[in-house]
Amino acid sequence: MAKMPAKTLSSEALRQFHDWVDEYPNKRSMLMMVLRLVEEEFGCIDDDAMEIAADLCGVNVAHVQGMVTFYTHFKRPAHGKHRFMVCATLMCALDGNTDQALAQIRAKLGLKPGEATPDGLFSCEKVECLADCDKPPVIQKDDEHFCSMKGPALDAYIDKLLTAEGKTSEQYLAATPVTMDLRVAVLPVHYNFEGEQNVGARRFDDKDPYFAPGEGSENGSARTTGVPPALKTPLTAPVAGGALNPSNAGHGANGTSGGQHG
Amino acid sequence: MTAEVKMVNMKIDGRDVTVPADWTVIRAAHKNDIDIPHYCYHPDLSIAGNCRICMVSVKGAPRPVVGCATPVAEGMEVTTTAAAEVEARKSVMEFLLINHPLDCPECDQAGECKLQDYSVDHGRDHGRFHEEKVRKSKSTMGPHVKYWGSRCILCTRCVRFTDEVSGTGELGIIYRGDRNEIATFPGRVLDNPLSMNTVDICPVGALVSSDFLFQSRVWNLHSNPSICPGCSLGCNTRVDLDAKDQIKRIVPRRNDAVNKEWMCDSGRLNFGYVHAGRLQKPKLGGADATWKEARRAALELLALNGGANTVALISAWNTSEAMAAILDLVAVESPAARIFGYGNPVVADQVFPGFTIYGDKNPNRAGMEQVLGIADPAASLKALASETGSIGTLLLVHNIPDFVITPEFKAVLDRSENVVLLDFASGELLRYGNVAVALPTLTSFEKAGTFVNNAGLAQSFEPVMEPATYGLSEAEIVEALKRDVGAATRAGAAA
Amino acid sequence: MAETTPPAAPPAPPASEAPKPKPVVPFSPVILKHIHEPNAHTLEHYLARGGYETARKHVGETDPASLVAIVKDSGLRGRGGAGFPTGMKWGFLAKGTGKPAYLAVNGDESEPGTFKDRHILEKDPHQLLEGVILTCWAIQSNHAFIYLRGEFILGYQRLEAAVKEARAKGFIGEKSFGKDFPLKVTVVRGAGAYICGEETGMLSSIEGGRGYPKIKPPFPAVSGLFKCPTIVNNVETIANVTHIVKNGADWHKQWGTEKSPGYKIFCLAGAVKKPGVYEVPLGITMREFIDVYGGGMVEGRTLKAVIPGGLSAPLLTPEMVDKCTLDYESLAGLGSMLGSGGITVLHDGVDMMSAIYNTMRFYHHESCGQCTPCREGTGWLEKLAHKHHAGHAHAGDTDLLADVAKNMRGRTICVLADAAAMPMQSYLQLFRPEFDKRVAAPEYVEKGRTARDEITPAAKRESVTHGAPGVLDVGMGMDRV
Ligand SMILES: Cc1cc2nc3c(=O)[nH]c(=O)nc-3n(C[C@H](O)[C@H](O)[C@H](O)COP(=O)(O)O)c2cc1C
Ligand code: SF4
Ligand code: SF4
Ligand code: SF4
Ligand code: FES
Repeated sequence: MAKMPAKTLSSEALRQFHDWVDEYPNKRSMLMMVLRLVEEEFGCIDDDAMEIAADLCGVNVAHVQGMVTFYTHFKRPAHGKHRFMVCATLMCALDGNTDQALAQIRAKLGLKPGEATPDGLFSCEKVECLADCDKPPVIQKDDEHFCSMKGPALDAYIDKLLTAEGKTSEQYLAATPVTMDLRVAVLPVHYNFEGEQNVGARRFDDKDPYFAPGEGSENGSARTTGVPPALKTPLTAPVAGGALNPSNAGHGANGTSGGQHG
Repeated sequence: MTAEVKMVNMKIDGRDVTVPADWTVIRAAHKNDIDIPHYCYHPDLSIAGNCRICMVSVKGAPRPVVGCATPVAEGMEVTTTAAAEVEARKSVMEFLLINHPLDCPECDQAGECKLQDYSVDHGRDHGRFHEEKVRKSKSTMGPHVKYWGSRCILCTRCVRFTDEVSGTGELGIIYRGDRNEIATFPGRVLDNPLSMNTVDICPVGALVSSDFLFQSRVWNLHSNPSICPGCSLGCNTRVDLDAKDQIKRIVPRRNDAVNKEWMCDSGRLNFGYVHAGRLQKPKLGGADATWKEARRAALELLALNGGANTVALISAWNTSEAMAAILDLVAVESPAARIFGYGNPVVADQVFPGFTIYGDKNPNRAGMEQVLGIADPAASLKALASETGSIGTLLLVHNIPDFVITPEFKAVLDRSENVVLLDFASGELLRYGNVAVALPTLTSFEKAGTFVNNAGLAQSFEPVMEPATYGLSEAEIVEALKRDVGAATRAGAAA
Repeated sequence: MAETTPPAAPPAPPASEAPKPKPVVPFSPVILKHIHEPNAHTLEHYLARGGYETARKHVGETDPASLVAIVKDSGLRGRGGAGFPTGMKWGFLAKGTGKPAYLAVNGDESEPGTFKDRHILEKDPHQLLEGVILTCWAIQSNHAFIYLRGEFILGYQRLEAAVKEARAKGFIGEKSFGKDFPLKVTVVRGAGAYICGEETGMLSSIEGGRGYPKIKPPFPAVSGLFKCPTIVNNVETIANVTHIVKNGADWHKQWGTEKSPGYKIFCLAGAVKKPGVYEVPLGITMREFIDVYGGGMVEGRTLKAVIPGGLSAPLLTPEMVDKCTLDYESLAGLGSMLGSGGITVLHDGVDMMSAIYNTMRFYHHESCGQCTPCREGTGWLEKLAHKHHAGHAHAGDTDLLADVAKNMRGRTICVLADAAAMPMQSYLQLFRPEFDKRVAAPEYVEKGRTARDEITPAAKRESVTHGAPGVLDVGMGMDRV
């Protein structure tokens, strides 16, 4: 029943694991770090990685799945190779900073939050406070952290990534992005409800007030209802003199350095 | 070990109660028949304290606290019905229902749902939630259990059960906040011998039994207590039957000395033999006969030579009463007969962290030892099988459903010239040519009796239903036989 | 990188204010003193400025109880949010249980508007480590966990490197500083969950579980990590320990107020000219902080409200800001809290309905989902806030918001539910007219969908429902892009 994971850990990763064994009081408590280990090892945490982590830490794989779906920072197969995380919490979102960054990403990659390019190279999502609120908008791209990341800096950065991948912005604007599906995978078909041979058992309730697959949104994906209409009141009234809070504004006196970390 | 348990005195709703010091308020209240509503609390699972419905007020505390997680203390004063906690409970009830589909008309749990129960007592009369509900998935958890995510109140009882009692850990909570759902890992299913307990402990209709799904509405059922004959543990059960006296399901009944509130899946599901494949009427040489004819034939066979070559072979599935009745019969009718026992073969126990399913698949081995003095049915059968020479009459008191005939058992049958069979099933045994007389008996659901479990606890039970055949209990059969003997003796004396 | 020199001493308070009982002692940053210097995160830099001398002096030598006494005497209060006196907390640690004691340092820094621990971790990790060593000696713990939020990548790398260096130097290890004091320091990374900032949620996470807060009592000091006595402290709190032990309790008490002694790092964000982190004596006025340190409001804007202690803290209106000083008591007196010291300034152009909707979305996204009132209530609040934000709330929805928020309070395992309800209650209290303006539809006449269908055309109906994480992004931003 329990199939063997197709992947194995490298010997360096295993050595790291064994170092931790002496460090931690029990195996289960290594789980957070072991998940980071497999994430780094395989690029993301897929089902095989979860099985390996469960095995290393001596816990049930259902528990590991619970962990991976609880913590939102783990990289999952649905995320793009280049994963843009744009802070959307109040401090960043004030004055339209988040919106501007998202609009720029959309203009370059054709991605709305929650979407990935069909080739799986880029994805975009909104995340909650990244703890650098004095320099909005804050964006994390995988392990890289950026503050005041909008305007030319953001465009240039995306262009750099595009060039490195040998892609162009036009290619992505012409393509239809895919909605990232971070849900737990479906069970094999033979675990379906009676008469549901092709659906896959883990599916959304189709009874009112629920939606059947394909219902409830324009593009036919089952899981979102329509995007609400534009705001009646814009977030901020425009001010004379252009953007507030320009990124080159003087920062804290005994305070922080500006610009990019990491 | 048995150190004096420290007790504390406290007041609940003005009543003085004395309870062990390591108890929680909810346990103290329930013990004293004071109801505190609860969803996530279960006496046999760890405390989660997440549903927040069990609010009580403790004198001196600024606001209501959860009764399930608050330890008792000397001099504590608790109220369960004052305005503060009633108000708190009402708001928790409202929160529980906002994302609930309220699909009671098609929910299997309707009628025994704790949401329904408590919302009558604690809910508000109209809904204030007009927004879109959170959509959840539904899935098949395993061969016996299905999951309706939208009905789940995330009390985590089922997860704690698989972690703590079955130890199999198939279930986990996925996602976060109000997106939380219960799920198995893809490709792994909730498939352990105790899986259906999760259905029982689910306070709502989120986990439902595939075997019971859409079978009946609970208010059309009537229930009677019984004892499971599936193994030597003797789980206390409640048998639910429909208006036609058909068993619809079997669920555990709390008995802390035996099964707490659990039972195994096979114990629940193994009742098909009650309604199918029954021996309806007595048989004589393979043909239907009247009770009177069959009894006469049986008596003749048993009385041959005072039973000098008669063997009574009694299974460990029989009640203590049946065994005693057979002893009685043999003493009267065939005093020279010898008595042997047999039973289902014993396999390895299935041990879980919080429950053991015994490998001794005989409900009354201990009773057999008490009544017949046969401690080891397998050894007893082996001794009989190792003999040679024919058995004149074999009085076979069987009553085991789905019995697999072993070579030893077959050897004994083959050596017997005539078999008088007492059994409720018209199974394989009947097809043995040497079964001269077959008398229909009753299953443990149709008669009263006693099983003595492996801990030596004698558990008596009453019939849960009317007999489904013309069968009679062993005691009734023996009584009738003895009456026949008496009549014959009187007739002989008169002649 | 320091462009400007810090103001040497805060300017004297406005003349109208009553003179402070304490003489104003000049203050210059203590914890943030070196963060602008290149390589401040390296061991050489730290040693060159006398680093680890305090720990070397006390570990294995000084009576641990006397260290606890110094911290208690200094009046240091927790910098993570609750402001609980640190020395007193250490005093509660269960003794003689036969179990090991743990120190768990809270570097989750997930309260929106707070970004102070980031600077300590990234730019001066050895300062934290020395505090950890001293704290462990004081509470006689042989194992410290430092829990960092997963998004702190540079912070993790630098702290991990610092731990390795300290280990190589023998500052931590089987014999720390050559004394008979074994000490392990383990760095654990989180992975994107606000609730892991709550102390017991963090402990669950370190134990390898979902970040579910635990029922209190028992408090961590009695039964925490692995059911052993545990002290949980914020990064900034622990960083303070070295300085207090080195300079004494009276040194610490020369700043601040009677009940809030010392200094604290405040994080300033929003509509000010110079947002950033500033370490200032407690008790300075909020106005001074915003106008002098923050350089005043951005051009062309006036102050509308201030979030004084992280997103969870109730708002201050300009009138309240005028009365406010930066200490625990003043803010509590104004019905708000000092919290984590994350001060966000909202200007007059901010649409409060957007702000509250964004705030509610945060809590809905971050509720761990254990307890019913918080799991369901945060979602409900977000949905109702969204209706106000989008301008089609029904009459009665605003009162419902107030009632739902009230029902969430004080009924849950941890205080996230309160943290979500508090801002909602404060917005309602202070900006009720803005809510009322967005009411566009009559009251529901009947319960259930039918009633809504009659009133709101289906096309106008919308959802902020999150079906599963894959669709969490519905309703994530201030505006839909
Ligand atoms: C929802 C919630 C989030 C919290 N987040 C943080 C946090 O990010 N960082 C932190 O240090 N404390 C946080 N706290 C406070 C901690 O629970 C705890 O009080 C603190 O770490 C204790 O350290 P201190 O005494 O040094 O302040 C949070 C509390 C709650 C209820
Ligand atoms: S499925 Fe049932 S038992 Fe399990 S968490 Fe949901 S409501 Fe509770
Ligand atoms: S454990 Fe034994 S007695 Fe209990 S239900 Fe199962 S078979 Fe029946
Ligand atoms: S109050 Fe909210 S965040 Fe805290 S434990 Fe309960 S559900 Fe989780
Ligand atoms: S029964 Fe107490 S919180 Fe659920």
